[in-house]
Amino acid sequence: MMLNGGEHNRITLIVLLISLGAWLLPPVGGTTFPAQLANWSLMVLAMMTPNLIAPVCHICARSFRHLRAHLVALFCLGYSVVWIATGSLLLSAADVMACHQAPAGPAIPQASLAAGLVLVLLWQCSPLKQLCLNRAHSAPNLEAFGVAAYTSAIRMGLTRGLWCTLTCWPLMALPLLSPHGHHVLMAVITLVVIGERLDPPEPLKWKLRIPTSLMKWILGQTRTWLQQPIEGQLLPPTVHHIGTYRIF
Amino acid sequence: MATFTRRNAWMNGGTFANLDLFWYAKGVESMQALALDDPNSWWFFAAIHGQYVSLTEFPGWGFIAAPPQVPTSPVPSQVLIDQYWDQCQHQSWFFPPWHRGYLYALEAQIRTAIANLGGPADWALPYWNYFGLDDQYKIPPAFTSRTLPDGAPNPLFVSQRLGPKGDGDIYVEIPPASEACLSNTLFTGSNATTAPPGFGGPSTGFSNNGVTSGNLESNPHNLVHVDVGGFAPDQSSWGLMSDPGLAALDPVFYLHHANIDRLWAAWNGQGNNNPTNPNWLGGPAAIGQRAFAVPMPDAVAWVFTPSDVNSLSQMDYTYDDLAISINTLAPSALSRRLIFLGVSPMADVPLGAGSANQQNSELLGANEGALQIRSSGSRTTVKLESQVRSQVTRSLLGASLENLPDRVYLQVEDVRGSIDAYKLNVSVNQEPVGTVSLFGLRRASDRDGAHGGAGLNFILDITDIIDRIFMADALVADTLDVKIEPNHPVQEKATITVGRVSIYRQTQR
Repeated sequence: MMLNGGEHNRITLIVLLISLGAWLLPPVGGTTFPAQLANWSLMVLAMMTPNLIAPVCHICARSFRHLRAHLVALFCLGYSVVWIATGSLLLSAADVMACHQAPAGPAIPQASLAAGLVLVLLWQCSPLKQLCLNRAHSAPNLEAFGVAAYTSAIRMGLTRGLWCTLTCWPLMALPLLSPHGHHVLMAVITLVVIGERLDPPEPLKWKLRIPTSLMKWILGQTRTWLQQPIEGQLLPPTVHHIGTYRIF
Repeated sequence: MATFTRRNAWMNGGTFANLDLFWYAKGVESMQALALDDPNSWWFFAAIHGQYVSLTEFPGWGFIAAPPQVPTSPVPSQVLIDQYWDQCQHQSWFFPPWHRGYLYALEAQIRTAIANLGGPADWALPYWNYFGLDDQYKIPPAFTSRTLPDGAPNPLFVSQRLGPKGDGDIYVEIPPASEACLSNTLFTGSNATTAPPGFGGPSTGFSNNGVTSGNLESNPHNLVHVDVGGFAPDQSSWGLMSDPGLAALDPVFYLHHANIDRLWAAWNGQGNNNPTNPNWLGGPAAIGQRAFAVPMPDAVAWVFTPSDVNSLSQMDYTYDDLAISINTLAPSALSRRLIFLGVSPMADVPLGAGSANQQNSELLGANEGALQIRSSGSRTTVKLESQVRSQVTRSLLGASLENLPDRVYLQVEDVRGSIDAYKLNVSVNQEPVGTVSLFGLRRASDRDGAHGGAGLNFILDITDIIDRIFMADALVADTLDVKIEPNHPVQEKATITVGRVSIYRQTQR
């Protein structure tokens, strides 16, 4: 069974507000590892929470009403654990490369950023990336009662977190490598990540993967919103030569 | 005034004495003579619905037993493939309109081919009304004859059409196939007369395969597909109609869908409305997804939306019979239910009482762990949650026209497997609650498919059973016994798993 429209909208609103809150919060000062990890967590909260609307709806639709909040919390815990662990690894790696500390010599960050960009591009085109994207769409069976319900929610969080991390880690590492423009880079990457999730799973292959779904969705909805209600049209319908599309 | 009239295929005994069938055969033959990469060919049209052209074992198209001799080359350009192939809309509110547009294009192609052969210019696609009187539940004989009247091979004959028992006897089992969905009053959503997800299907984007079929799609559409296609007794293969990636290779596919289209038109004829949501009217393109496109004769593409095919009055064809055989004006199901629950009889309970969007669904109970379906059937115990069960009990105790009682649904969730050619008979406490067809299972289970291998969901209305249990023992039971039985043995390679069996209450306020 599905959630009704009102429930779905409420969940969407709450998740987006949490994301917005994270965007607006100032970063933690200092360059200590805990401070960096806190800022990493804030960044993940801002960028990744919009992708949690579908799994949270899945949990709510398939659980007892009085357990929903607990199960969603456990799911988020599992999801966060994976991201924080990933953050620790990436921050340590960035420390080694000594490129996250400002001010640093300009050559190192630029070289690191260039290497990061190449890595991201390779990863974005790879079948492995598609595999991770496909698995990140999965909605597992959930147990309904007792301890099994709690453990299945945590397991779902861990699994989802793992596939999301594998899907996005090169993209998420980019702001760490970039000496300037973190927020702009974060915003662009957020749109890319959301766009990727809107694309349905696909067979695994090398492909220049440009997520256009979000932009198309916005354009399509804008056009639909601007249009007058479509009245019945008489046949013969408009025909177009093969190979041409009516855009939206 | 419609130019073309689609007539019953069983006219003149469903033989080639019915000229609609004779000319259909000639038109199919003409389209089959064209190459796979020709958008006007039979094969290209089948691939528009769904295809396994490149698979290296059955159901790969190269491994289908002739006739027909299905080509796997020349493959069209990637541009054409991206525009046209693998487009059929299933488990979606686009199921009825996409198939209407698809049939319209196929009919135009066949009509053009017939005209080129000197046949009638007003030819229209016949429909197979398996709910008709007498023998109409059987496939029209023109489809089972190996030859045309002139002795030439019959293009309507398909060797991989195996029937519900797998023995080549092709018919639709009635019941479980029924026209019960015609008593629905909502296209998408649910109310007292409409089980979720509604007559037409759930709101989705582009859905080449999905999760939950609409009520028209579930029964009769899916059941008829699996009945007609069937399975080989050794399960090495299955009938073309049993699988969306093969189905449109069988000429009877289009007669089946003409009947589904007719039922949709008949449903509208009862005063039921299609969605007015711009995201339905505008099709998937309204949310930036792939547009619906079908080739019309002379190599032109028709890019259409549901708003282009919203009613027969917009089209240039009609049906010779849009009457429905079930009585949707009988005392409403809700009225009967309220009387059964002891509420004073009332003169008139509006059909479709209970609004579409305000209802809340809530889990009432579930089994533990996944379930593997065995040949002899599989049993599971669904445990009910006591607090939610009390809410259902209170709802039934306080039932009135102002406080409509909860409805209760059984959901068979996350069904996965590799062979579609099965029907599952589901019972609760030894009472049958419905039969579901696994048409679409293979694609829905593909982890790299459009839904990430989510599998299929089935929703069965068990409100009547819960009402009876409530009247018998005030719904004190902690558990319900659910049995799921396949219609034929499940062999090892055809493993069918059910992720969870659950029960939901749905408030009606």
